[in-house]
Amino acid sequence: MERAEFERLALDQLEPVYRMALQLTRNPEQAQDLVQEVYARALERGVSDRFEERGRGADGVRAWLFTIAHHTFYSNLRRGRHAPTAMAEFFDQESSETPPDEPPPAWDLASLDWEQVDDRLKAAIDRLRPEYREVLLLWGVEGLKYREIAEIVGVPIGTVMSRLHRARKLVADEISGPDGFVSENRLRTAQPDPVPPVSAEQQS
Amino acid sequence: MTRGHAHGAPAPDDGQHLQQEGGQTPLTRGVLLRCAADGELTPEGRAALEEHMRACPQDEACIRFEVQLREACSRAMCQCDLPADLRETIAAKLRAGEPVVVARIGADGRVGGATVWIRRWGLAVAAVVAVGIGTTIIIQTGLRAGGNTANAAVVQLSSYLATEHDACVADEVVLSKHLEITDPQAVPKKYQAIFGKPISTELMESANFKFVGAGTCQVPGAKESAHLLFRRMDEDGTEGPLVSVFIEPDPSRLGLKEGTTYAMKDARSRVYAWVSDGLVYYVVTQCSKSCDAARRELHAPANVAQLGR
Repeated sequence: MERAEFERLALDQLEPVYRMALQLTRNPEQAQDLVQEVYARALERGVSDRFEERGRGADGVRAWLFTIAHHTFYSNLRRGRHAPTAMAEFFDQESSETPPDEPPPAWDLASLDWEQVDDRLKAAIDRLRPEYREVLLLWGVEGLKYREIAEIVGVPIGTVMSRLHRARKLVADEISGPDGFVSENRLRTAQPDPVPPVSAEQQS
Repeated sequence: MTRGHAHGAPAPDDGQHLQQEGGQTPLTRGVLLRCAADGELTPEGRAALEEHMRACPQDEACIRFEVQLREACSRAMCQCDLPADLRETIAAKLRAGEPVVVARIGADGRVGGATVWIRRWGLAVAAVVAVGIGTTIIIQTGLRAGGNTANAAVVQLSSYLATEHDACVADEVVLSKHLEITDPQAVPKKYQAIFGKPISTELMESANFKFVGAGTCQVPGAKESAHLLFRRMDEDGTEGPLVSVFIEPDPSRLGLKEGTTYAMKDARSRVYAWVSDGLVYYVVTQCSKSCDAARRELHAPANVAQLGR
């Protein structure tokens, strides 16, 4: 691939890369810094050569840039002693790498005006730990599969599932919990009765 | 909530986990339904889902919820206002063949600290500071030796740094002569020559420090080194003390180790040194608060040890 072509393809992905940077840093200025780091790294000659050697075509440019963004952000995090607020949150909260057992809520949201929920949803997403927001973005906005996310983030697929499912549960809890929009609007469940938990004993 | 074995999937601890994409991830009801909504079920998972749905058809609503939630998350997260000039900034630097990130030294890049540094400090280059060759020899010899000689060399080194800092602080003529370049755009070529690595400049002053000037100097025992001077700014915008940052490319002669900040003895100023990515950084100032702030901004290691006695 010609250098100019590679640069053009990379710049075509500027918006998703910036979006990812923004979700990670939660700060527009830091996001710009991160994006510039990403492009500096991605377009270094040696690095871009390795991209081609690995047989990544045009379609792989976006994932390639995401991978660099991820590693750059977390490298910064490890090196930085003065972590931004989001990072304190990242380090302070206990991490769980197992998916939540609880199934999704069964609210019938078909008639709900989601635009009215957007602010609450954004706030809920904003409160997520960065590694949760990251997978949520790659899954929700970029439409990537678990395996693709795992390659970008550099963790096992099971970890991606855990983070993603937990992030979704947290967000769902925020909007449909006791104080959430769904409850406030007294939406009814799609099912007449809650699904009772089925124990192993019952099953047997 | 019970595990997925209640719904046709193997129990999580029975040694028969479904080979879902997540490997040994237990296929709980929650996992099953979310994976179904995502279209991520394996053939085994799909079979488990079918069996589950026969028992709990109402869970179809859970899957619908997840699909809707994904769409909502996408809407909520896809909105971002790409800075108007970011694309052009990167494109322009690519056209110019310059590294995009300012002050990132070396191909491996001190990405964290360097970025902050880029934004807050800026770089420039100036005249070479003349240093007596005798002093250089003393320092080099001293650092290679041990005991009192090494200690004396450290003291002399810190003395040189403090003297150079004081000279620039006290005398505007010296300042303009030693730190002659005040335009950060002039920096890249000169620093490329010193460090052999690409450095570009994009001066972005922070609220805490203001770039004053920069140049080259000759730290005793080193070849050509960098000297940068900044003024710390108080919260109300008033000017605070001056802070010097020296950079030299060869850390080996000092025997400094990464991960430690070394306090160097000097009667007049606070002098601290640390190594990062093949470079030695020195911070010199008479103000302890400014010194702490500068070390913090430059991401100096938190672990501090005394260098010399």
